[in-house]
Amino acid sequence: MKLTRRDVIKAQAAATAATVAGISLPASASNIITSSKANKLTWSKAPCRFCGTGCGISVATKDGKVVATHGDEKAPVNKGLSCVKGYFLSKIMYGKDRLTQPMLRKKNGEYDKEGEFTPVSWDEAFDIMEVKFKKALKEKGPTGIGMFGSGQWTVQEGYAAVKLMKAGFLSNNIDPNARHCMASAVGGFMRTFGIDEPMGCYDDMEAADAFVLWGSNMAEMHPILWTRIADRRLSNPHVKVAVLSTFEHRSFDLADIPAIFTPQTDMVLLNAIANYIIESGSVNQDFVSKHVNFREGVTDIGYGLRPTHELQKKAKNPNSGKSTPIDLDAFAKFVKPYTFEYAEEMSGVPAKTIEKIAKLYADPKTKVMSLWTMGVNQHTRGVWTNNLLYNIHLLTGKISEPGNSPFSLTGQPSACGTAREVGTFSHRLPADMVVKNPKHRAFAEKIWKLPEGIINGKPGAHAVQQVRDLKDSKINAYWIQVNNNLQAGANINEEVLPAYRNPDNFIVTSDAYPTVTAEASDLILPSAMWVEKEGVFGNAERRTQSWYQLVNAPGDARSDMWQIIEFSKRFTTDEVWPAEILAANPEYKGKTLFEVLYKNGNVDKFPLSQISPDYENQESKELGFYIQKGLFEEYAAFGRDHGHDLAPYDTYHKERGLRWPVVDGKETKWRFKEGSDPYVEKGKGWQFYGKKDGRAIIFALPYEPPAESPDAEFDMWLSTGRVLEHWHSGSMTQRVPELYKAVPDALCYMNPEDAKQRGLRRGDEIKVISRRGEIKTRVETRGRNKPPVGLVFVPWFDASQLINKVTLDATDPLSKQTDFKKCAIKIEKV
Amino acid sequence: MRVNKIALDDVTEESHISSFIVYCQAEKHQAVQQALAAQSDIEIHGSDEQGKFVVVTEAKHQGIILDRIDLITAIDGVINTSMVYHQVAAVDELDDEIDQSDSDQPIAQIYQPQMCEAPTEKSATTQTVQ
Repeated sequence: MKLTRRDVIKAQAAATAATVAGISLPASASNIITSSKANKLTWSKAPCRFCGTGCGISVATKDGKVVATHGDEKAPVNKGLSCVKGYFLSKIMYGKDRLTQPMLRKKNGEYDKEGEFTPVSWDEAFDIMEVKFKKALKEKGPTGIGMFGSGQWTVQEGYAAVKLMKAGFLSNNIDPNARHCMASAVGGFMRTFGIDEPMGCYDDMEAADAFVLWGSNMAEMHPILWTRIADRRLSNPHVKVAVLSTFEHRSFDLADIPAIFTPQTDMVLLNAIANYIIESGSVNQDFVSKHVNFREGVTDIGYGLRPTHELQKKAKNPNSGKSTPIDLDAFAKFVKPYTFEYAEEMSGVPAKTIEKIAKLYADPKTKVMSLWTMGVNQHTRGVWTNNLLYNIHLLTGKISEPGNSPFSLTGQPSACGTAREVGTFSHRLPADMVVKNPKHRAFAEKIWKLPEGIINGKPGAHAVQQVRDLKDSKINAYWIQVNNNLQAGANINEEVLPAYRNPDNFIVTSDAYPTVTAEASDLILPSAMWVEKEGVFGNAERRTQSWYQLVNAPGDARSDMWQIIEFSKRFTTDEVWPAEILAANPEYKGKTLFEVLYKNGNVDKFPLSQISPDYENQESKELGFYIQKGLFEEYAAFGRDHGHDLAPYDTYHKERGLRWPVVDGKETKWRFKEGSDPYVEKGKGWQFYGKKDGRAIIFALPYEPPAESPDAEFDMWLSTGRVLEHWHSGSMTQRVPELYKAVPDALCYMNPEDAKQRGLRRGDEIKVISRRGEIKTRVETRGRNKPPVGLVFVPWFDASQLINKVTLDATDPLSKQTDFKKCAIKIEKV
Repeated sequence: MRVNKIALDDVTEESHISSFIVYCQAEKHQAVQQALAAQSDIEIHGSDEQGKFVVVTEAKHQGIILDRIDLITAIDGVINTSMVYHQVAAVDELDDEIDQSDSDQPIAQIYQPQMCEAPTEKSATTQTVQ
């Protein structure tokens, strides 16, 4: 039998799929003889680069390029499967417009804000950055600079950035784009449990009897997890799936209980379910009496708009998260008005349907998993709605057990690992600590080997505030890494674009591709991505996963971590630290920030002999020490023995991820429950140890209306979101031609009834107009998303249509997360 | 610099080989098998009684693979298609005949996609498929 290389590759493809499917191939198919020359590939593991699910991918390289990928069948998250985003991972690094050298706006050979992008060397790029950052620091102090990072940073990159900003420049003006997606979830966790991130894990999906999706479209956004839920549903007829959303989408295909609700009324539904649990006598009295406190929250808290905004002036308690203790009886009284009839009137969901959902929670025999993402988080009452979701799990004691699981899903690959655990938020330090707390600052100063009292105790500007401060010339030097804020930020016409193009400001963007944000900057730095560097991500179920550098980045592109560390060499403590601190601690005088932050005896502790001999590691070789390990181990010191324990760094290279806390080499699947969480004391049953008394909090919080609702002129709701084939703002996936082809342009999904009333037909060009701006797009009345009458849905991945010109920058007053899910618009035919 | 242009790769001298799993209703197994067999650009490499098929396809462009998956998913009785393996290779290499003299093991025995062991043990950290 004569064989070609093609036969061998096909046999390999088939063998891999057969392994995943659990099928044994017939002898004739598997009996292909291989040859050393036929398909010589080196396989390594890496977590997928795209979403917060954290699938394991096997990545093959050949001649310095990634040439093949497949779902890793040994990865517990995805068990060998891949979704369309992960399927073509080998292409994301090889788009034709990949950035390979720094580009600076220049006119007549000099930097000029109005100049043309011109290739420059790294030295020249850092020279101008240095001048601009030093000028801003000199004129305005630490609040004059800012950094905007990402849940796509590796753990080490985010940690290096936090150190540079908070410990080096003494500025808390660092925030991740996770502010736009997970801040409300974090606020909810901290308020209810006093510790961040889900207590359960993906194993709940094989144990639950019911799944309730609160606004989430998992079929498209978390397809691999959806496959696990679908498997559970299809192989166990008693299992029920409830899908709640403001419009019908693909997840409804599996829904036993579908429900379309009016935007913002998820709060009414949740309180109605709490009321039903109480009135039907379904409260788990034993659990509630031992493990729960009740509190009533302050109301009328505004919409996180500028203080001068009408709505903000009207609010009685703007931005207040205060609450007072109450008891179960008072809570029962509070939710009593939330009857099914009232909930039906407010939400449009039939009372009978609400009852069906309420019963899933109330029935003690039904193990129920609630799942949510942006629908709940991008919400002007996002923190509250997270609290309300935990309420119904706490009232029934359905928490921290296999299958009983309120589960907050994430969007980005390391929103949990980097943005949240490392604490790249403007108010945070690693491991849930905050800059406001003097004990936390002292703890950080000790680990970082810094002079006492040096860390700034005032929270910095959060993402939306940073943009306002740039527009108002309060921040003048600004560094953006791994995100596309000009497309992702809200109200870009009035806020973001003027902020970046403000002549007082110098804007730097590090990215792998020329996004709209990069184009609006003054300096673009080319970044290495994914397996072009060694790193660690943390997924939605607390799983920490590492990978090696498998290939080199093209041209001069370098990792964000390298960029941060190189830049730190250009500043001395004398230039950026207060004189009195240096006078009291003379040993720090005249040192570079590089020396005090990264050559501090911790980060440079591990020699090059410890890096893997089988993989490249450009940054470490250049620095002379194992930088990724040093940063990780110093960072891990924050969480060990504090409920956030991470395993030794080298362990992660051997494992397919471990869920923290990792104690005595063992991961934790269900936190807060005796037997599965080593931090729970014996005999307690449950212990919510994020709170001092071990009790989680049930919050009495009312429905409050959204910042803007349709009226006579702007007569429809606008909701935004994503579609499966594109991830976030599409800066990577739109470069994979087949993904682009699958959904070529953003469309305005509309109910056929609404289209008819406005004399519109499918495919007509229209304008979507709000009080802030307008975009042109086309009508779609069929297809995957089916809005109810009165609501349109526009996905936000298409850079040419920038739907966020139209959206409102109302935020949750507690989490400062923007509500992209609802504002009032009108539709006009072009 | 361009603004907002999509970098559509030209159709290059590359070829894409992909595998996926097709799940169908067990009772429609035969009909689905016939429908799959009728599609000339895909190969069935295996199946089981529960309604799973291992399918391999090759195309000059990845987009074509997605189209084929769409067509397969549209077959009556097919529940789902799961993507597994994808490799890019130079077209002109694919027809090379391979030298069989230096190996006599079936690929299924050699190809065990397990590659994350102790980083110090070279043989275990990476696995070279030969």
